[in-house]
Amino acid sequence: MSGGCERCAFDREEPLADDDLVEAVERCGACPRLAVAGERALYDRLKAVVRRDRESRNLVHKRSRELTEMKQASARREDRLARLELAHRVSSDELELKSRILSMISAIASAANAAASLEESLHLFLRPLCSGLQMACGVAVLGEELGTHFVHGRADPLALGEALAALPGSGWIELLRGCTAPLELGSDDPRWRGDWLIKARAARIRRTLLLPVFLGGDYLGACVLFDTEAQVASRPRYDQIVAAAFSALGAQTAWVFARQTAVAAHERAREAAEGASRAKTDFVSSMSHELRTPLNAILGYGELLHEELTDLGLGEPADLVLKMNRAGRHLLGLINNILDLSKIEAGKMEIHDERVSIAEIVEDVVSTIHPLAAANGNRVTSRCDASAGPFISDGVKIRQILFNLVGNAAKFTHHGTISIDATVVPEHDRQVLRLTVEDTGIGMTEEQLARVFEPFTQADEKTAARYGGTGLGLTLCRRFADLLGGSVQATSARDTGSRFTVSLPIRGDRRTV
Amino acid sequence: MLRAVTVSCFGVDSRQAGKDAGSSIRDALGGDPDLVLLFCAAEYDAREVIAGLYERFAARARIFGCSSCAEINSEEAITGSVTAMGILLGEVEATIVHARDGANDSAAVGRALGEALAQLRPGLVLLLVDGIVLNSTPVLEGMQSILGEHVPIAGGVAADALTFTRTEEYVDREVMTGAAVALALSGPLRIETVVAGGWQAIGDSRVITRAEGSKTIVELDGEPALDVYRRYLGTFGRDLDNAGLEFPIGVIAQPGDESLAEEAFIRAVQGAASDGHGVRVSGDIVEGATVRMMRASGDELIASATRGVDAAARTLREPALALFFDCAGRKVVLGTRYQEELASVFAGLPAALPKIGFYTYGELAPRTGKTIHHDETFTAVLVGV
Repeated sequence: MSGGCERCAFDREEPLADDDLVEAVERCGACPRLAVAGERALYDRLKAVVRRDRESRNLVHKRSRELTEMKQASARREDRLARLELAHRVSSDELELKSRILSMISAIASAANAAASLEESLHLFLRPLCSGLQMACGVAVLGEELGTHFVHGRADPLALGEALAALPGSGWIELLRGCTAPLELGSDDPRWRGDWLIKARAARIRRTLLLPVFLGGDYLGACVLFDTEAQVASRPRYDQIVAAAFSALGAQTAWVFARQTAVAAHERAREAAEGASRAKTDFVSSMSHELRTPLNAILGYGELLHEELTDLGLGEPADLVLKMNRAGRHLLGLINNILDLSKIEAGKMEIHDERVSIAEIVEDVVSTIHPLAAANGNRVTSRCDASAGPFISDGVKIRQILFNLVGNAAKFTHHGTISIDATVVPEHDRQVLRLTVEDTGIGMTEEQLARVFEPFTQADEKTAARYGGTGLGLTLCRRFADLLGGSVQATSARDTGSRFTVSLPIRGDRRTV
Repeated sequence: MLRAVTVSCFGVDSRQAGKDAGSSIRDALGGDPDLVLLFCAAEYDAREVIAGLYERFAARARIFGCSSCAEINSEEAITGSVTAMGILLGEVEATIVHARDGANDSAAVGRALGEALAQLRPGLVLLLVDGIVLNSTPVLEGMQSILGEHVPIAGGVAADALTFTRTEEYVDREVMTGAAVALALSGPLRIETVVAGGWQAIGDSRVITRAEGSKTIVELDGEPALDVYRRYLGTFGRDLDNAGLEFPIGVIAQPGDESLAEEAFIRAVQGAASDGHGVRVSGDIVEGATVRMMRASGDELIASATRGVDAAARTLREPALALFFDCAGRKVVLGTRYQEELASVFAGLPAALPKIGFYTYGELAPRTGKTIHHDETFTAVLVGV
């Protein structure tokens, strides 16, 4: 505004707006028309009104603008809320569908685990399929043969039975033959034939779902499901469940088949292994006989020869023959042990119960072992429990166990003591014979001790060379003890000695009671 | 003695809003201002607003400003207003220059502004750059190439109502688009600038292994940048328009720039590049820079701005006026809470201090001595005489 009075603001043809008037007058400076006190007062009032009007107009616009902002913000929030709700609904729907599919698949898997055969598995699949797909009933088909059926609910069992009976003439098999994926048919489908349609209607079957099952690409069978509802609640969801069911059937059938194959293979392998084991045992026992007979002859002639040479006073050759005989006897011992072991393994070792006096056995073993013990400068002590009266057991085997243990002790001890202790102790509600053989010999390390009952194990090769032995003695001891229902325990410390404890359950001899 | 007053007017009639603003300024100052800083929401016709102002002001009053996304006055942050600060300069001298370039060559525009101001020794340069057709980094660098790097430049990129269609710059009666305008203040000035982010880095550091132009990240660590970005966003990634503002990219290291160790600068993500693999960002980026994804809580954005201004207010006592250039992106991220940020900032400043500012499409403020372009950042200048 240029201001000035060349054109008075009060005299415009088009009157100025209040604020423009005030602005013009302000720029004018000292307007003579406002020099009059009353006029000036009125103008000052107008000026104040203009300012208040500006302020209140501005406030109104500001508030209205703020309201718009708030409305927009609120609309955005509502929009966002709506989007969140939608997202929430979509994801909970998805979750529900996934969990339904999952529970159906796991039920199909459980059915596959429970099934003993492919045929049974197809039948067991019907329940999870009917419940997962919400179908009224189902029939298992193996090849082209109708198998068992399963009724889930809703359907009338009588009418259903008739409908299923009408199935063979309905053309279903032709439909199934061309089927490589799930196939759904309404009961008014023109591909149905025969009186199936009437029977199906009577059974209120509105919809049929053919789920073919393939094994390695070849058709195996099918699960055929029927429902009394013509429509499903949600087609996309239903299709997803059908697809999951179809692939689960394929996978689980393959698993059942693989399991069956594996079981059969395992059976064959076990038979083969058992056959091989029997053959080995037969071979060993027959070989042992074949070896023992000529060996006995050799030993017999060898002893005769030794006597003859001694009588002739030929000391040197007689000694050679003696060594030969000793080696022969060792060989015989080995063969005997092998024979015993193979008998045990073949289950041919029998127990011969008899009346046993442990005192007699101990005395006998001590006297037998005496020469060997004496040769190594060992002292043999024995103690028999007075209460160990006669009892019933296999005396031959007990004797052999004791003989082996005492023999070992005598062999591995030099200038020491071998103690034999025999007691009968009550254990739980039975009597147990406890035989302890303790020596002060070379003993064993922990490692050796752990393997002491394994066949052909001796402390080490040097030990074998120095002390001789077949390496089967302790193995036989344990096997005999096992056979008699007992056990053998060993404790030992290197360079201190060993202690073997045999525990054998015994029965009292009635005649002594 | 420098004096200033800020008014905000609303209304459906642009000219009336201009006249009202003019009257209010005159009432408060008791006469015509020497200089008017003007920020108008895009819904107003700026030519009419300015015509209205000049109906109230003498022709010698200079007008300097631009279009804005939202405005800041002495009391609060507001949306949809005509906000103007009338200033009586006192001993301070103001020089206004503007530049445009037919080819929209941002660097040339920057150099032209620099040359126009080269003879001055300004204590502060306010720079407003068109937000649609110009690129503020080359404008700034063009200017700095003439004036030197250490002239304090502050300001922002002109904005509109988040439609990114047209922004305007004002010098006196002239309303331009595609221009950059600069106001140089010389004389006995003290200034203190504030740059506040409040963003927190999340996830690993990644290197921009391929960039296209200055605003498209093609690959991060050899992987398509959009894949990396979407992976970070998870479900937020469906809506890149909003997510890009809420989850910007922080540049934490750049070849030949040691200063970044102290604080990252921020680049908002504008969306997928046209090739469908890259990510478009709001400010310049360079190949070889190390970036991290950023996120923020509203509380942290507000607290960071407040801390920044409080520190500046402790250093510069008795300011004469305060200028604010706050990012439109922060307004979006804070949503209905956007006014809390300025309310919290103002609590630490004298109530009578004249204040003005606007919500920008990019902030220009010194960072370790040199002005750069920021995104999603709160910047402020306290001016004392």
